[in-house]
Amino acid sequence: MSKLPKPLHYSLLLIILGIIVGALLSLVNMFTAPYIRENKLKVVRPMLEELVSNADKFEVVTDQYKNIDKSIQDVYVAYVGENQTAVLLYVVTSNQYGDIESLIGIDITTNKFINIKFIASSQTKGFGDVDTLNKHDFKIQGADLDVEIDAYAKASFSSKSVQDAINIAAQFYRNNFKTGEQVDEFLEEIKTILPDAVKYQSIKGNLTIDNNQIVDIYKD
Amino acid sequence: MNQRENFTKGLLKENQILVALLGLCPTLAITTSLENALGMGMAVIFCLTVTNLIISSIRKIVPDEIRIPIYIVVISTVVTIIDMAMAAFLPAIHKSLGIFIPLITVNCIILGRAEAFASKNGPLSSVVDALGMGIGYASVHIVISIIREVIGSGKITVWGSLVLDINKLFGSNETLPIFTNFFIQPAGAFIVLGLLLGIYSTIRTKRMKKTEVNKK
Repeated sequence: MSKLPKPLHYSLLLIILGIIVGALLSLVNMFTAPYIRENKLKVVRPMLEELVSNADKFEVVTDQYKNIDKSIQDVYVAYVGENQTAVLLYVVTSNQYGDIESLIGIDITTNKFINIKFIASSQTKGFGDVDTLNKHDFKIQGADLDVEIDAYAKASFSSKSVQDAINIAAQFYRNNFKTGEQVDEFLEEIKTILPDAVKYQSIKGNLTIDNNQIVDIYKD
Repeated sequence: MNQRENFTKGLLKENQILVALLGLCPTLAITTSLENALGMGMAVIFCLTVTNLIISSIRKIVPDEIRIPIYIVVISTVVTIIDMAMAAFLPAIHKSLGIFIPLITVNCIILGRAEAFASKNGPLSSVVDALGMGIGYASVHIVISIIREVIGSGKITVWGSLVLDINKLFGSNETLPIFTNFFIQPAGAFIVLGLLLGIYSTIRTKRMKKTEVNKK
């Protein structure tokens, strides 16, 4: 290897080092990831229970969704018995004043917001800190997915981040969970696949939905 | 230099904060509580020791022209492992130290010791040097954090357990007015660090003068 030209020799050395380091870090990540996820769940569990008090269990389903908005850190599904009852999204939105970490619940049966809870905020104390945000009623409880929040006076930056979080959550839900509406949107495409069908109806919405993947399952 | 001198030089004589004035950013930022100082101190000691050990072990096969990128890759790998391990097993400290854990990568002390010592000495000497420098760095953090936490809140809490509550010694359940959270703010950090540097510099100058007189 020492007979190679210097730039090539050095590049090869750095590539080999990169491979070793990459392998080592993935190994450590494999070992620590379950603990990190468990720690995160411990922090959000009281809020999950507050948002969906009748849930029997919560499941982390983040890994099932690829190519989702980077602001969505985790996706939880609440179950009552064996039925999915709500989707809860851990969303982190930010602007020049800092991050806001929130947990947004959406009821699967009504397609409406359950509420929003704030986990952490690095925005201005007294105007945008986590206690202040949790005390403020943004009026999203029971609201439709296209809700415009009741802005928080004197702190437009916090309100914007909150609105961003709600829009991101709503978009995720529309793309991945909300059933029924896609029929109209994709009817023409579906007709080309099953031209003889009389009726099209969405029967399951909680599939990974992005780009060219399956958008929904329809029965004729 | 024997191993004892190698170890002790980092504690005071060549202390990286008090003498070299390196790594001051986390010193000012995270010394708001003893808990933070202990967490950061342990992270730096571990990182410094492991990187010094690796760099001194590979020093003979690392080409001189690309030694700095290699050192940085080694340091950042060790720091990333520390970051992941702390997030998994010490989540509370990991959260309160925040961005300062990944920033250990660019801490001048780590790269400084790798370049100035580990790249020229054997693994054992490098580990001893790292331990001395790391303990010296952590000790200054601990001293500053104790001063700031006590003056700032009148009590010291470590990992959720109350270690000392001066307010209670005076029969008060609330923070006494003599304790001001000004010292937990950034300005308080500058004042405490400045006073500490001044005191240490005065003692050091006096000692040096005394040594010179003795020599004459």
